[in-house]
Amino acid sequence: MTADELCFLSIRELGAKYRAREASPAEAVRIIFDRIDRFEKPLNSWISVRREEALTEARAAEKELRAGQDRGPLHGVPVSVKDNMDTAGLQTTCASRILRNRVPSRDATVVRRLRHAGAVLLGKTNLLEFAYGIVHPDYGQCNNPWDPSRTAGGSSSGAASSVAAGMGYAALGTDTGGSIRIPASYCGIVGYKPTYGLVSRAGVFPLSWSLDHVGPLTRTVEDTATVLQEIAGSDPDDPTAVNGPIPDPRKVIEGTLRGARVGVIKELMGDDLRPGVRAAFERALRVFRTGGTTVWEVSVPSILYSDQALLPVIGPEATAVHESWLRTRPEDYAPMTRAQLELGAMYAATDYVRAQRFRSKLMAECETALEQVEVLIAPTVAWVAPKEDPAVAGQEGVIEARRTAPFNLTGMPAITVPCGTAEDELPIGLQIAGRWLEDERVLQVAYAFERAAEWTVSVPRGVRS
Amino acid sequence: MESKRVKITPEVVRNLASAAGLPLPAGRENELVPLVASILKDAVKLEEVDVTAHEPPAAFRYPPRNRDIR
Repeated sequence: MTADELCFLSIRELGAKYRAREASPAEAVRIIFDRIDRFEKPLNSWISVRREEALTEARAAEKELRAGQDRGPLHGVPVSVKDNMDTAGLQTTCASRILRNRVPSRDATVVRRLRHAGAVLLGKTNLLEFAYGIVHPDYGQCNNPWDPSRTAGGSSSGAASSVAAGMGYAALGTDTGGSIRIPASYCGIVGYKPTYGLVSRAGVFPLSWSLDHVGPLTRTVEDTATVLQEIAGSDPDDPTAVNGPIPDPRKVIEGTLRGARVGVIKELMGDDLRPGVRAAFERALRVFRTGGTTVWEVSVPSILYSDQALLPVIGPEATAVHESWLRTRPEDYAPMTRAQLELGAMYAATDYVRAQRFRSKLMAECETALEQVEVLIAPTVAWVAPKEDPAVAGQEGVIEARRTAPFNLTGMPAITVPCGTAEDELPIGLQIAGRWLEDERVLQVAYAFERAAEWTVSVPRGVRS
Repeated sequence: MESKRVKITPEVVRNLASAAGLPLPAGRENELVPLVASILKDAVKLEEVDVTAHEPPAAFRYPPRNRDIR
C-alpha cells in the first residue's frame, strides 16, 4: 500500500491495519503531514497544525494499542477540528483578527471527547470569519481539492478541503445554515448535521445559538457514524445538549434501500437548480428506485420562506454575541462580516419573534410530510463549487443555503452524501433529512445510498500525485 | 430603497445604528442602505406566512452564557 492510499482509507480500514500491525498511528500522522506540506499552499486548509504534539500522541496511541489498551475505533486516528472550537493551550482564532491571540484554557466538550476516544488532533482548520460567510483577508480563502481556483465552500471550508484531500480521516465542523453540508457537497465528501442538541456546543464559539450544530465531515457514512458515536450525548456544560439516542455504527451499516420510503421535496426542485445538478439528482432517484425504495413527491408548503426566516434569526443572535466588539473594534472585522453584524442590529424585535414562530410552522409541515415517508431528500446545493463564497446576507448566499437552512430552522438531522458530478465535472451532494432524533435512520438510508451509488469519491484531481 | 414599513434612507440607517450603539464612520450609512433595505424587504415578505398559531420552539430558547463565549 502506498502512502497516498493509506491517507484515503476509511477509519475502520485504518483501525484494522493498526490492529494487524500493518500500519501505525505514527506512520499515519507522518504521511499526513507530508501531504499537508505538499498541498497546503494551494488549498490553505489549516490555521494551525500540531506536528510534534500529534506525533507524540500517535506514538502513545501505538504503545497503548500494542499493550492491549484499546480505546475504540478512533484510537490513534488523525483528525482535525474547526478553529472555532476551543483547544486548551492552542490558539482558537475563529479566523478573525479579533481572536488572533486567544488561547483557551480548556477544551470544548467535543474536543475532550475526541481526545478521550484516543483520536490524534492534527490541528485546527480554516473557516470563514466567525463562521459568518466571509473570508477574513488575514487568513485567506480555503480552496477546493477538485479545483483549487474555487472555494472549498463555507464555513467549514478547511474541514471539508482537508478531509477530501486526504489530510485527516475526519474533521469536526459547525453548521448554522449549511456550513457543514455545503462545503462537504462542494468537496465531494460526507457532511452531517445531527439533530439539534445531540452534540454539545460547549466551548464552540457561537454564531447563532438557536441554529448552531456541531458535526463530522468524513469520506464515508460509516466513518460519520463512528465519529458521531464518540462525540454525541448530553453535557452539563451545554443546556441544549440532549440525552437522545446515539446512532450505533453497527446498525447504520445494516441500512438497505429495499423497503425504504423517501420523499422528494417538490418545492426544492425549482429553477435555481443548475442542469447538471438536476440530472445528477435524477440519477440518484434511479439508484433509490432500482434498490427497491419507494420514492414519493412530498410537499412542505412553506419551506421556501426559509429564505426569509434564516437571516432574522442569525442576524440578531450573531450581533448579540458580537455587540461589544462591534462597538469597540469594528475595524478588526472583514468589511462584509462587519456589515452583516451591523445589519443584525437593524431588524425589528418582531421580525425575530416571527421567524422563531415560523420555525414551529415549518417543523409541523415537515412532520406532516414525514407521515408518508421516512426521510426527505433534495440536492444539497443548487450548483457546484463557485469561485468565491457568497455573502450570507446577499441573494446568492440565500440561494446557496436554500436547501440546507430549513433543517437548521427545524433542528432535524440532515446529511449530505456524494451524488456524482455536475457542471465542470465537480462533485455535488444529495441531502437526506429525517425526524428529530432519528439520526440512525438518516444514516442508514445515507449508507445504503452510498453503497448502491458507488459515488464515494476517489482522490480529488487537484491533489493527485 | 424602501420596505413596506419605512423608507430606508441614510438617516434611518444612522438612527438604527445609533440606537444600537454602533459607531458608523462618515459615509458608511450610504453603503448600508441597499443592504438594510434588502434584509427588511425579506423580513416583510415573511409576514405573508400566518405564524400566529405557533410558539417559538422551546428547544431553541437558550442563548450562550458569556463564559462560554469569552
